[in-house]
Amino acid sequence: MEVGAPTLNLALWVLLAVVLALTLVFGIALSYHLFRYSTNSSVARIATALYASVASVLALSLVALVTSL
Amino acid sequence: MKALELAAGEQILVQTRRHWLTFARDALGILAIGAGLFALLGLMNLPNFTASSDPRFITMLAFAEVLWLLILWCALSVVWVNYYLNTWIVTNRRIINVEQPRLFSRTVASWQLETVRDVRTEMRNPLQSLFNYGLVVFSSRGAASPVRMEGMPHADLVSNAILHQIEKYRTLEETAKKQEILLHTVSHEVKAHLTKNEAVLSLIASGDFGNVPEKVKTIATTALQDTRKGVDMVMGILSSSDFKTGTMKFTFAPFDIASALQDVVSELRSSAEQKGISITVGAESSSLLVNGDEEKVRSHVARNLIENAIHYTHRGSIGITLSRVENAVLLAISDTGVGISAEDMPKLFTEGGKGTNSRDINRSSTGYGLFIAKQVVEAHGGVIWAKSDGPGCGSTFYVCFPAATSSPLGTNTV
Repeated sequence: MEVGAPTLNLALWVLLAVVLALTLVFGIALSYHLFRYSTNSSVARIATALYASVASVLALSLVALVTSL
Repeated sequence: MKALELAAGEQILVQTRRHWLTFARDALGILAIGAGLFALLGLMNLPNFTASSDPRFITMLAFAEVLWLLILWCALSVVWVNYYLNTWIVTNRRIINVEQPRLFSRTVASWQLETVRDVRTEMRNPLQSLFNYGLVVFSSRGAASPVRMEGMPHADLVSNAILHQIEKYRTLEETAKKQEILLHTVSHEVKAHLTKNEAVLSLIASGDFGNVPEKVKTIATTALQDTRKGVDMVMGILSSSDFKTGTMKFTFAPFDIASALQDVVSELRSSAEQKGISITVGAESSSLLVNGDEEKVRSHVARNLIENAIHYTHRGSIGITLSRVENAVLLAISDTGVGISAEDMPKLFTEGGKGTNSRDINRSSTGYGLFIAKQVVEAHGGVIWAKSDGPGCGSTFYVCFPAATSSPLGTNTV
């Protein structure tokens, strides 16, 4: 475990970066889709905010966990 | 829907998405998958296991769990967006389905109400009866299999709305058909009487009944002109009716449109000159072949457009050009007349559509001329359109026919 720790850390940081990028891209696409096709812009706004809030909390938790390693 | 355009006069009667329970069912499926992982860890008796494990391992386990939650959250978001954007719309003309099978794929399908048959509803389980939602199924001409509207809230009301609208549509269609037949019959009768009157008045005016007093001759000439206008109007109504019922017959054969145009211009030149308007004709080639019904193109298109140009031009000139553009023949008739306002432009080629100017300038306008011209041009696979910079700026009418590829060989009646 001790020998492979830097490699593991690097792998986790790379995984985290990919996950965060995907979450962001996914969120932007989702929001664009909702705003484009929804008849009610308030619903689109609330849904985007909700997605962003929960995704941010989870993403920050991931960052905290990787940092604590 | 922002991306959905309704036709003029189309009204939305019902707009609904699937029942919220169908979303709850899908969401529960995702939550069940999520819970599965945690249940697995519970089965592994993880608390005892982690108590004696490396803290780094526990952190990585927590990382995996949070990552799993993030994936579930994204999946749940997709399911909700798909649920929210999947919509069924029933308008007074059609049924529209906006389907969102996956997040970034979207299909919009519609079925015209006149093609919809056998509408029925199904409630398959107690949950659907309790929460009042179900399946609406209908068949449509042209659709290979019945169309299914899954998870419709108030399925019976949606089905009734569709059936009611179909019934209304059919009644209207039948009424319109009856009116069309009546109009056709009446027009025929009126035309027969007007034609007789026209013949008699023509004989009086031309002196075939011997010498008549000048006053009587003048009255007969005026009456003859009015009768001819009446005949023109009735003929317009009849032609329009024939187009709508699909009974208008065309005899297609290649003909020289340049020559046909010259003939029409020769016939109308005197009436233009009486108003002090000059007509110039410019043809790119002495012979331009078009495959079509020469008589109908002459009378309903060329004559109609040039007569209109004369009517609506008080001074100046009318320019007619005929040119070959790739595989088409383009006829352009421009005048220095009263022009067309932006609000009159959409009415131009509609049945009975009259512009603001036609009421003052061309009182004899039937409102059928350009409508029939458009039908004739379209029956030839052509296009007709108009351009004008506005009132007082003149106007140009364009007609584009597909050019005939060969010399006259035979005729084809449609």
